[in-house]
Amino acid sequence: MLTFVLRRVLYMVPTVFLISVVTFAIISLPPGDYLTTLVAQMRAQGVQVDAGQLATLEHRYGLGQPLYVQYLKWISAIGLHLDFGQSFQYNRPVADLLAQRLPLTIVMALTTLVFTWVIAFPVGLYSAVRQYSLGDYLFTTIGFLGLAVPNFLIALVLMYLGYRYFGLSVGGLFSPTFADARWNLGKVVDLLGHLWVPVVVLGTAGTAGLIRILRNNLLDELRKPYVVAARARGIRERKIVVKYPLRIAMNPFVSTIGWILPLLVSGEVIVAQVLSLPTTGPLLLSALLSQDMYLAGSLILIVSVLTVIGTLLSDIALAWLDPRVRLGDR
Amino acid sequence: MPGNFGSRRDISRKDFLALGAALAGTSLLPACSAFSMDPESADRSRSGGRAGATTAKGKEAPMLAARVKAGSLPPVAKRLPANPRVIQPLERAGVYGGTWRTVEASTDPSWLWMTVCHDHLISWDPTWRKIIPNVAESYEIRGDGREYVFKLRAGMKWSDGKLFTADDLLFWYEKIYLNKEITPVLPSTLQINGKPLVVEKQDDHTVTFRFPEPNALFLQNLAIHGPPFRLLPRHYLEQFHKDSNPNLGKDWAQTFLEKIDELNNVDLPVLTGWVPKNPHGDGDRQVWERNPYYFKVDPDGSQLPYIDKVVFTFFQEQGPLILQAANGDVDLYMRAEVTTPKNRPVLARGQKNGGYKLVKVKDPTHNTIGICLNLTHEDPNKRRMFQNKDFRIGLSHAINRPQIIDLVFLGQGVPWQTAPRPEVSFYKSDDMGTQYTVYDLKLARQHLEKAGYTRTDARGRRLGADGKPIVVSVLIQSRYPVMIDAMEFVKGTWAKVGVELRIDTASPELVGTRMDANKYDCTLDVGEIGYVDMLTDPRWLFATGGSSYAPLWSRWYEGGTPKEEPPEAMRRQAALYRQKVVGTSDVDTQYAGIKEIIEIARDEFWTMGISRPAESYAIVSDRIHNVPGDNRMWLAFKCPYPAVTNISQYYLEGE
Repeated sequence: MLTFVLRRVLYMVPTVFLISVVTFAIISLPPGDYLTTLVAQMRAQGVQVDAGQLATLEHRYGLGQPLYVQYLKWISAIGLHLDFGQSFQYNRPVADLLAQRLPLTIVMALTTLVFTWVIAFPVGLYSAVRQYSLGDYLFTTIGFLGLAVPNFLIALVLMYLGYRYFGLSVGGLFSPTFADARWNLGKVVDLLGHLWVPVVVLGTAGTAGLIRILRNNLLDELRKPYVVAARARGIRERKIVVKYPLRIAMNPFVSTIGWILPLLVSGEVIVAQVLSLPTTGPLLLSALLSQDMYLAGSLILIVSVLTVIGTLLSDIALAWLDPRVRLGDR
Repeated sequence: MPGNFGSRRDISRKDFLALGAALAGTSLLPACSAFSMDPESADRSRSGGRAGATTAKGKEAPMLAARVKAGSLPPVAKRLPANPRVIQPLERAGVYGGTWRTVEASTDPSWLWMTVCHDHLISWDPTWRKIIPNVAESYEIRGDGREYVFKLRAGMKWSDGKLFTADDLLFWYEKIYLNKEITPVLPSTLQINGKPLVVEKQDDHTVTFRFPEPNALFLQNLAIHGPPFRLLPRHYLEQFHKDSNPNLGKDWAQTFLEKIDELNNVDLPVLTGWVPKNPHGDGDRQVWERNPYYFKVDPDGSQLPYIDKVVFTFFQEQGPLILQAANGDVDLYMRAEVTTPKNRPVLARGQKNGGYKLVKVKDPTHNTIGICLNLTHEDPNKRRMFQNKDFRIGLSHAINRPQIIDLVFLGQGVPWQTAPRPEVSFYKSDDMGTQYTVYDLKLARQHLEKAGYTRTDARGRRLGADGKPIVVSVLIQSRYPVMIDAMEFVKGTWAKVGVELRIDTASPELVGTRMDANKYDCTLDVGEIGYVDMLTDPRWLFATGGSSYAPLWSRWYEGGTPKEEPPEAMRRQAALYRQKVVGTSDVDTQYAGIKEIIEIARDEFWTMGISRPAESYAIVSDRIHNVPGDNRMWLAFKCPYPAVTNISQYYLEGE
């Protein structure tokens, strides 16, 4: 087991390196750079852009250098000092921007996860045990609706309803009165009052998926001979279901834990954009749009590294659950 | 886990409360206030304005009076300059307090420049007619715009209480303007024909800016949104400058530039009415609080601003921003991309519930779509064709403008060429705006034939000089979907006269790159500068920086390579501009000069337009007062409204 883990960790080093190179290349691929974006913006605003200003900006952002120099500068600063560089667009260190937005992003993602599981788990269980019952049809229909309707559309509809019928101040995670207040109970309540909208929006799709997985796996298990045998012995139905079939059916829950990590950072881009949430998603989107190289690069790098780590965790969990994985590696 | 399946009711109420308390106790560290349900920092609420109304106004805001009483701030008389700028309130003297709630498109600081960030030496008056002193007590122009003498206010202070003097301006000149590391290339508005300006200190309160040749637009260039130089505090910045602090490392210039970023460095002392309390880069919201040392008073001698705080909530998308406005959570906002005709129905419907109104604002934009054929095309055939005035007239007559206005612009606007707006004082005639706007296919064919394109192929397509059908590709920035819709109509009517239009959309960056490389047939632009701002930025009259119809000629004017000498008419325009507009500070001569330039542009017909846009509007809540009413503000970058209407005299009262 230990060698398995060590080996996997070693594989990660070149993977992450390659990811960083590809990331940087992708960001640099489109024509122009942050300056061309800026100039296009300024032109649109009726601001005259002269050669002098451009040279000043280029000097200021060090954009004239060849790509590999820019890459080396960037990656060595991250590797040596955890310095993610400067965001052109915000004119602040990338690390500051991340530190500010990551906590709320994580809170939101974890809440969404809990919400999804709390709904999907009992519903999946119910609709498997009571297959083709009225409740099964009802829940799965709702689930499919959640899966089929695009998240941003649900967000827009919820936002409009909030405005039209409840006079809610829409967008963001706090009311204006609490936005820059210090943390206290009032602010937590205020956060909860706003958090449910994105959580419901983001949760619906995930819930539907998990309900299906749990339902199908459980149905498969419930038909297996060992269940029939157990039932024949007169063991209570509830105990039969919970003891073995449910545990096996839960495998997908465990093995997808690894995917949660990258979702923490980037999973909710469109919804967060629509709802103007102070999370990392919109930051990534705007950084990509304006070719804010260091910010976009850092975010993509972090997401990729989290995916790699998440996959490792998943693999370890699987290896622990399923002996075949370990043995095959030996 | 299996055994617990049926025992979910086992957690008792007591356990639950204990768990809740423990959770709250651990997560909410700040000691005694942790259980408070109120916002921790007071005074963010709407009540500020009302509370102020019941008490006598006094000489300063209650929040500052309290600090004076506590001894943390000198009395108001010591904070004001000897001769403060007196602002006449628009309707009546206001009351202190309250928070001006507004919104902002994320990361675009324009709205800040148009409001809280705008206090320069001089300013436009609220009607956009003349330049008046602001931070400077007075100014004088000498030698036809060669020399500018600014008299500063004695005893005027930065927001940290330190004196503001001529040395601060000199610091900017010596340590920033002349420093090659910070300013590698001089901004074009702060030099004349490549020769830098000279700044001299006469005494502590008198500074002279001297240009080697007349630069009569200098003041107008200072009065814009985001001026070319800002007023910066020497006493604070010296510690970050290599000249005064040799211990700084190699990257000092980068740090210095970050330190003068007034939106993000909250420690930087400023002269504006409000100072930022958190960096703009927070990206969520930014709070600006009154500057206790602000240099303006009302006629009673009460220090301005009236409003305690300005809060900007940032939005990435227009949707929530508009809903927030419709919900009545915005006191004042006007930015073109939000206050468009498209959003008007939603905003108009919310007026009663939201407690706000839509105030008409004039738009200096002269054209919804300026059609710019590339007059310096790299292909000689196309270049000859585009440069032929009859060819352009023919195309212009083949555009059905009323149809486009009806279907694309919802019936708002009138047909118009890329000509000055009818309101401009230096060109009172309509002829440039209305010429060749009639939709007449017969006339169009006549002009195209006159231009020499008489042959057509079997399918009725007009043939070019090379014997191939004429095709014009129009390069449209993808962020303007309305333009794409409009060009679909143009495509249909141009086809009727035998000219094929191909629509090619690309991101703004790509369009910019292709324009710089001179690789395009035709592109579109919003005709933004169409009022008196044409004086400082004549890009639609002849090819200067920022114009989209002749990259090689613009570079001839701006300097840069590759370039090409424009035809005689445009050279004449450039010469007139240098002599009569930039070269003299006499307004009448300037106006006569720009009128001549306009007339040449009319005769040459470099570019064509579709329509003059309808008026825009601002969202103004019922509780904010002293805001100018209908048609008294412009949506302009060259003259940042509402800042020039003296936002420090706005006040909040009632709901």
